[in-house]
Amino acid sequence: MPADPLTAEPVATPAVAAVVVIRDPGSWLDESLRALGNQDYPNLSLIIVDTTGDPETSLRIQAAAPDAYVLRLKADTGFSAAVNAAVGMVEGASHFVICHDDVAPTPEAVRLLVEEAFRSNAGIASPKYVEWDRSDRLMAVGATTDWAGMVRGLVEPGELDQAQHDRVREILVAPGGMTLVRSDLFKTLGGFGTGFDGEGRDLDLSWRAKLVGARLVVVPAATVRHAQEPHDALSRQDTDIQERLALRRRETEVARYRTVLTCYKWFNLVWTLPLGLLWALVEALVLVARGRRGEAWATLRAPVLSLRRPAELLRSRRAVQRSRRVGDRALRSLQAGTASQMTAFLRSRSEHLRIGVDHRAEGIATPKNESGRPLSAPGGRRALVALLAAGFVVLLFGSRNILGHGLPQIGQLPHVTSGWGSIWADWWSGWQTSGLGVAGPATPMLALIGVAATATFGAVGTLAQLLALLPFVVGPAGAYRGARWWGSKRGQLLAAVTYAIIPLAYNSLSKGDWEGLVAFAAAPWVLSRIVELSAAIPVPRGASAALASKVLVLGALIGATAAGAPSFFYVALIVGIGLIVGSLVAGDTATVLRFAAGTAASVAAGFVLTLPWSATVFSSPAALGGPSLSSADRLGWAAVLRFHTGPYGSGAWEWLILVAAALALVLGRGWRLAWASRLWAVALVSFGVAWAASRGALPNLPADVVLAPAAAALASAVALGAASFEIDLPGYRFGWRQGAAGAGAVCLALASVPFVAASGSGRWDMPSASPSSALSLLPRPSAGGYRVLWVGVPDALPLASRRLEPGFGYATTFGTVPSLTDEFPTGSPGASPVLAGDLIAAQDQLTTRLGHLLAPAGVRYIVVANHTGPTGSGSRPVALPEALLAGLETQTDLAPLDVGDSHYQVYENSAWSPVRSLLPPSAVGVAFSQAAGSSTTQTYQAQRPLQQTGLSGAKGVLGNGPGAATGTLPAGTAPAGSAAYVGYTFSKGWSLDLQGANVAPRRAFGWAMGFELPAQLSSTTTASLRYATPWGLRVLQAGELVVIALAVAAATISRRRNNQIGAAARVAPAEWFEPAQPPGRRTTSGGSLRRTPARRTPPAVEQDDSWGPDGSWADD
Amino acid sequence: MTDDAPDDTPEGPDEVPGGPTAGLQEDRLPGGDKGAPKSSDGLRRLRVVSFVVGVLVVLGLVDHSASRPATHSGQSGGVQISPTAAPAAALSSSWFCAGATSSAQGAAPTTTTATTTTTTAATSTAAKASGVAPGAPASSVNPAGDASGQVVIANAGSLEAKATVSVVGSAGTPDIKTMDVPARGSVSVPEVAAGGGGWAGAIVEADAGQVVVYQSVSGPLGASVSPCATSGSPTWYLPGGQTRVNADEYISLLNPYPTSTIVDLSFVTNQGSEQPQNFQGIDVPADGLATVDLGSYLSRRSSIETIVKARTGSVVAWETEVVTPPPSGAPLVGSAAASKPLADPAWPTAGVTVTLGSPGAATSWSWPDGLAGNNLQEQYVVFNPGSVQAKVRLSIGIAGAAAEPFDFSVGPGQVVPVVSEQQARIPAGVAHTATLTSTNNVPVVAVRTLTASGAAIPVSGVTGTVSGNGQILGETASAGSWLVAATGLDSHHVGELVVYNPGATTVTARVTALSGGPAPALPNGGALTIAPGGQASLAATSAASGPLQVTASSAVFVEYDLYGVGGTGGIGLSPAVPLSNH
Repeated sequence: MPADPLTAEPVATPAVAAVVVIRDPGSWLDESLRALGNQDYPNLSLIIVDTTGDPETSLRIQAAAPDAYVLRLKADTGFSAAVNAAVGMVEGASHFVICHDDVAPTPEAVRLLVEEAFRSNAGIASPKYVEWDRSDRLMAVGATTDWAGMVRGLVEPGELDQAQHDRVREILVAPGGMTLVRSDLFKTLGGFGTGFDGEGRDLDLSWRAKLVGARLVVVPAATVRHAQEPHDALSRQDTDIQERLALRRRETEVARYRTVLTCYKWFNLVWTLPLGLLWALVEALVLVARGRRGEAWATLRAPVLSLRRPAELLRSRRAVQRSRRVGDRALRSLQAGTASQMTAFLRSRSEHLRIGVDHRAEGIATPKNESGRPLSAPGGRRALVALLAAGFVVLLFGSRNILGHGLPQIGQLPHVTSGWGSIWADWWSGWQTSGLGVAGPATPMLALIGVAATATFGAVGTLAQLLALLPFVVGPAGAYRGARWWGSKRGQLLAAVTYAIIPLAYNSLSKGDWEGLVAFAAAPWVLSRIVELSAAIPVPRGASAALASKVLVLGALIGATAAGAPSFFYVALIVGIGLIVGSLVAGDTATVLRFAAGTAASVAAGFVLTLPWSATVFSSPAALGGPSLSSADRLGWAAVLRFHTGPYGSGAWEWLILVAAALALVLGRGWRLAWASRLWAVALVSFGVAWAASRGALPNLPADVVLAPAAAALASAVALGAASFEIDLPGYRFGWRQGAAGAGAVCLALASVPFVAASGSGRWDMPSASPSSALSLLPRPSAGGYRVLWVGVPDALPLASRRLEPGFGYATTFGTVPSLTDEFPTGSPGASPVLAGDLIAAQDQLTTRLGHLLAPAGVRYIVVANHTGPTGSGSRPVALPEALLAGLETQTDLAPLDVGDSHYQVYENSAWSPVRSLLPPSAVGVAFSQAAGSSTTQTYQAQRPLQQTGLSGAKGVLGNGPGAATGTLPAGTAPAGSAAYVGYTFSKGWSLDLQGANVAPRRAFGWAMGFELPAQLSSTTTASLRYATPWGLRVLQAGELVVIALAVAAATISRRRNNQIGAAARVAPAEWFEPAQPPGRRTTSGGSLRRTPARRTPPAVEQDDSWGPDGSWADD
Repeated sequence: MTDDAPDDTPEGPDEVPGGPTAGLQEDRLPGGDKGAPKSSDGLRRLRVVSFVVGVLVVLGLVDHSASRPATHSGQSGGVQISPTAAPAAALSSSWFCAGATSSAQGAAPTTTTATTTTTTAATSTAAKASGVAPGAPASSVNPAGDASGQVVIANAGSLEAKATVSVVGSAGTPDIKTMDVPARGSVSVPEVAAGGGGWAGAIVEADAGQVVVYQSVSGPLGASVSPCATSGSPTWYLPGGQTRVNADEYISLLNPYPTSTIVDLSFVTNQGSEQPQNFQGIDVPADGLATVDLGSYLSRRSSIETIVKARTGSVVAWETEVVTPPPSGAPLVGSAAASKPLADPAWPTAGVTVTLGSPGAATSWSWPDGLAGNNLQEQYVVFNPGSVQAKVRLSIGIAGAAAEPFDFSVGPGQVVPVVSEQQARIPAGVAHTATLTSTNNVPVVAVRTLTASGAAIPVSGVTGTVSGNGQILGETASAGSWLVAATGLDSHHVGELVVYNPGATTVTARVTALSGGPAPALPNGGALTIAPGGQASLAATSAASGPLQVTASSAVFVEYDLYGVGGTGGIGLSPAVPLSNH
């Protein structure tokens, strides 16, 4: 019998417990508690967890929510732990409402959530969040994630609420604030995951709930005002805003990684994790470029930190996977697209701003740009960021065939094939195997690459690509960063764009000129640092504080760059000289001394930090400058001005960059004009040096390296032009300057056409295959090994070369494939010039038996390149050493060899002998009797006996690799009077260990080593060829590490001290950036300074809403 | 500037001109911009812009005055066309000779001095097989012993040199001899190939510079001398050949390198471009020789330009033309009977010519000597082996004056002969020089041929007539010092050394004979004076049969011509070899 509805007992309303955790109560707490107390849901219990331990908070709770249950915790263990503790005390509730202390729900909110939870059979229900102060502005209406676990809101923060999202729908993530959770679900899930806080805990709870089959819905009818005060460590007010942002990012990212590691099935982890890590790297780079180093570091650390407490992580994963009832595929329909990462990242900027605004209200220091200049409006910023993103996409598109198909080994591009341990060993060794070998320290760049290889866990293929392509990101990022002084966000972005479209780096890449790429990456940073040291307007005084540390940092930057491009020591001086010249031209003598001292001190610091390597490099001008250019390769003035140092760039497009950079000259006033003068002077000095060096009027310097400061200066000048546009242009009467400004923008747009067009090839005109691939058919090195002697234009060789004659270089590889150490020229050439002398002898028709002369060096093949890469690789033709080729044709012991690639003329030496061999007795006398020549002529004249004798009877021993080796000397192979020969540069550090008996080397053929053997080897003898690195060098290398560590420590300490000076001291006065008044109305000339600012005029909000209510600038 | 002039002027009492130099900054920034002059932005802008524009313009003007950079083709253009002696400081030098027939067995080297000559026979570790591909028309038979060869090694240096001569035959192993070459003397080594008759070549390696090697051939049909090659090349051009009822053409391919080579031959004949299958894929073994008889597949060609291309490696290519006396009753080339449809004309003059090919084309060729008319038929044959039409100019110099040059075009793969007798601008019986220049820089190959049919010997002071055929490639580079290693002089031959001065000033030259001892007397003491653009010659007789060295005060071209007298006949035209100055 059915119950009478009138007489039946009313259905009991399900009990709901609202849990509010108070950790850092603000002014909104009282209103929040009152709103929860005013809910119309009849069976609602309010449980307040007070973690503050503050009596005043207790009083406020008592006043606002006198009926609430209050749980006081002795210590703040975090929001998650607090909720879990509170929920554990509740019995009989069907649902929990988990609340922050900064939410104010409408009276019906809990009821609507519960009703919809029952109606939809939802395990979790989330309300609509609106802003605390503006209830018509949305904050969140549910959320979802992408494949990487990145949380993405379903509405735009700040979006006007017009009921456009007011429908119940299924979601993947319930944003924190006020969340209704079915109690049995919450207990099944074990509550919030421990170790999670911030945004991550909501993601974790929601994702796990989804996996057990629960439904998550958003109930927009339930509206909650949210003050968005973070309920995590971010709320600690004793921390700097930047630190708090970094902390928040770290917590969020760690939670995301742990959630992904916990919730995804393993086969999805295989692809999501690497992609996620790659994205994190990109994100970190962009953050660095934007000066948010703390967040960048947090982003990079998060993957590692997420692996802490691995046992707990594994337990959580096992639990989730055991209880999961839904596959990952089922989540896909609710997840966001792949573009959400970019969106989320860009959105983080606005969040950054929002946080800043929130805390401004509390009087917390607002993050500011180092310049006090108001930046562009959000709308314009979005457009410019979109432009930057588009440029990045073009860069990726243009590099697609490099990223997808590997990096060819051309020029000096680091070819990392060995493991990180091997790289470290190469750096630590006191014997450099490049050329004919030489004793001396390795370049510190090997150590840096070793660090990178170690950090990438030995993913050397990826590392090689990163080393080649990172300059394309780091360089423009430096231009962006360096232009911050001019106070124009628009200008900063234009600087980055300008630097990115300058042909320099693309030419360097196409030629495999890694020195050029390194210089391209470093030049804007160095320029920016030197500018900072000057403290000339508009560089704020605070920016130059802790001068010593800044010099040290700049020196480290110069040293690190020079380790890859030794001539960068000169480049840093070029920047300093340019700034001095520019100052003098501008009539400013006061900064000259500062520029001079800063530059000199920084270069000196760089030199000291890279000792002992730097000392060896400075002793060898050839190592600094590299092979010189031939007359055909010399750059004309027009080519220099347009950065046409290679195949990239053509026509007149690049002239337009100069035109755009000239805008600052015609518009700028005051400090803008002074800096325009300095930047143009830097560019002109750089242009001039590159041009003069190319013509032979100066010692040779790599054009791509020398021109890097010019590119950086012009990019900065473009930014300065943008600043002048914003500050100075309003002060001019309408005339040609307004047109010039427009023309400058058009010029820059047109100048980017070649950049976009060149992206079509997908590899920036770089050959698609390595030169050494053309030699793949040659036999592999057998006992003793052999060398290949490469000759040609340096760009066409797969390794660093030494000067043979103007325009041409030579280099050797052990076997056919260069090693990483071959990419870096040593300071001392060792005995390598002997090879040059032999080649010149053949070129000058001084011998027809070149093969005999090259035999002691183990040269089996001579390769002359006539293109930059193999056939079919998209390579371009290069000049040929015609005279040398004519000479090679006359050699009777060299045979042209068809390797199936017409881009390489290969000659096989029929008189070759292995690099390490047992000399026949007939050759021993010749070897040990030949004295070292003091000149090239004497050297080859001393080889006359060798030419008649030859080494064709020599037998290879001791393995087939470079450097130290161990092998056996079979009995009977070393008859009386024979000797073990080693075709390395003579050094007393080498010894041959014959089963305990050490044999010292004797000089052979004037430059190599021979080890006299016992009369007859009675049995198979184990022999070890060893090099003992001098202790002095070891000490210096260790000292190098210590000095670098000390420099880093000193810089860190100094930076902290500098930070203590206060942000205000690092912010330039806004007066410096005040736009000039229109003619007839203004009281000051544009850009000039008032002696005594009468007032601080906040710019009109309608002009730029980035200004805060107190007139200060909120930087991103 | 009028629109902004007022704006650049400071206004108001609270302003300080110069922007960054002012007020607030002076208090705040150490150093700051205090030192800036208190000038207006206008003046400062003028100074800055002037500086920038000035630097740009000045360096632009300086750069403009310099030569323009060249572009790269990726192709080697550095082929050395003519043999050149190695410098005195050289550790070694090598010469490659071929195209001769093996001399009689047992002939011994001879020297111009009493220096001991050592002869050692050695054998190569590897047997050298005949280097002709299966089916190729190998020519291993001595063509009537018409061109017995010997190499003449001259040492212009001041120190004795050691030379190793490897005589390579069509079959068998190389015969290696080592000998000393006296300072300023010479050594002759007969080319006796192992296995007796057939073709022979020689690889000469000396341990010094300033050594020049010639190949001298002689036989019943006449004598010829020619410098040997100093380098191999993957490509050779051999213009000026023919095959007739009484004329045979042979191409000798010498591979002096340690690996074997495959060679293809192609031809431009009077019947067009030809590539007979049997002349493709000719195997030339390492240190081996291969000779092919063109007449076996290219018979009755009045003109043959041969192109040698090695698929891999390099070779040295020689051309040997053997013309026997015309058969009785055969129509002769140039006669009316020869123009009949079925006529098989014979070449009217017997003779033997051995010519080193050209490893490349060039844009300029010079001939110090030229003569036409009076039973001397001279022609310049220009061959364009490239793919672009060449526009060339043939300039004739007569007694220091210049005739109106001949301008003509040579299409790709075409041959254009210029017959001197048919040109009114080339007077008969007057010696002349000739220079061929490609006006559009398209390289060509040019050869001068000379046929004498009872012509008076064109050597001053020598009477008699000469008959024979000669051929000489032009010279491509002038030099101040030259050497003719083999003069071929004996009682039946006279020679003439011709020096051409291409410069604009008078040149004095001295000719000395290298005898290894006291210098033999030469006419006028060997002194020559050459007017600008003119030529001078020196008659050489058997009294000074050693090598001849020419030292000029400026760069000249030198040619040596050999004429048979006393019924021996024969003409040998050869370029001298420039000696390196360093």
